[in-house]
Amino acid sequence: MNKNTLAYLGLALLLPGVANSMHIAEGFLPASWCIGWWAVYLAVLIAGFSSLKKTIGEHPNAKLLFAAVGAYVFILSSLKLPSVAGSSSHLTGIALGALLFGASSMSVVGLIVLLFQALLLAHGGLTTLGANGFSMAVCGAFSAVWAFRLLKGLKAPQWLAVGSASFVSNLVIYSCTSAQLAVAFADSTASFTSNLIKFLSIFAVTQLPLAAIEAVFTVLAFQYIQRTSNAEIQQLNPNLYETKNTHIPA
Amino acid sequence: MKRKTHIYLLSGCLLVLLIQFLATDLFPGFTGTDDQSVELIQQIAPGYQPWAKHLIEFDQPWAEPVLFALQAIIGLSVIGYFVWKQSKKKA
Repeated sequence: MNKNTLAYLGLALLLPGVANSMHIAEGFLPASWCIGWWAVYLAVLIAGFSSLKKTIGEHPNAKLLFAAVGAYVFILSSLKLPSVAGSSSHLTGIALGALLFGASSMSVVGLIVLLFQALLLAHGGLTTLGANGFSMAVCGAFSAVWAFRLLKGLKAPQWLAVGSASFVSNLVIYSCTSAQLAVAFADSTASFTSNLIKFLSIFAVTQLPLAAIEAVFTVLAFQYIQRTSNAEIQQLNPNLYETKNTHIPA
Repeated sequence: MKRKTHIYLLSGCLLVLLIQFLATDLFPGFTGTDDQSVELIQQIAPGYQPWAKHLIEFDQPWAEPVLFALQAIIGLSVIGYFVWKQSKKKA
């Protein structure tokens, strides 16, 4: 992929349509759950910030690459696409940065994107940011890394491992959101399982084709970065291309 | 930028407009999954009242698409700078 192709990708993602995000809306999670998810997210955020600071300190050349993978999340999460069953949803773009910089560092990107959307776009919310950040930037990022490791362990080609990581990450984000809502609203009349099935029927079904689209975008973006920033990748993740001992910092 | 690049970018813009048309005009009834989840919460827990509201909400219908476009433009600007720096590095 050359720079023109990347320029296309960027343009194709610039959809000024009204976006209805995957986030739990402001006030639509009981206060106790909001506090709990904020606490968990903050813990990962502190670890992620520390990991990122260390990585950037050791590899100052990777700053621009990190900005680019953050921008990739910024663009993809602004994109609404129609999907099956008369619904529409979002791509997330978390997997790319997670593979290059480690899963926890994406919590920092997640915070920036979710704050922007909560404050300016009235999507998601400040009270639900902990829950949304946990599903998008923690579950999404770690699942991408684990899927990548698994596929590389099975000696899958690089494009398949990256694409699968992105696909899995997208689906895990929405499944996590479903679980968060299901557990928060479980009571004697509505069990966790029945709630989960109901929320999954909204999120997961819509996300399947969109996750496949995101996988294609992520493979193309990864290949471009691999071609143009190979030195930075080798410094960040010397074993990223290895079939064995693939290590991505957490 | 080379002439070929300009043609590619222009084609990309047209593609964006086409996708925009398809996404918003051909599928006007497509509701976002978050709106559907709010409806489902109200079905599961009819007595639940949201306990917080957005700090800022824009009444104008154009505000939201414009702000989402702004988000995409910020991201595209950074990626554009990254691509430019990489191409300069190669040259």
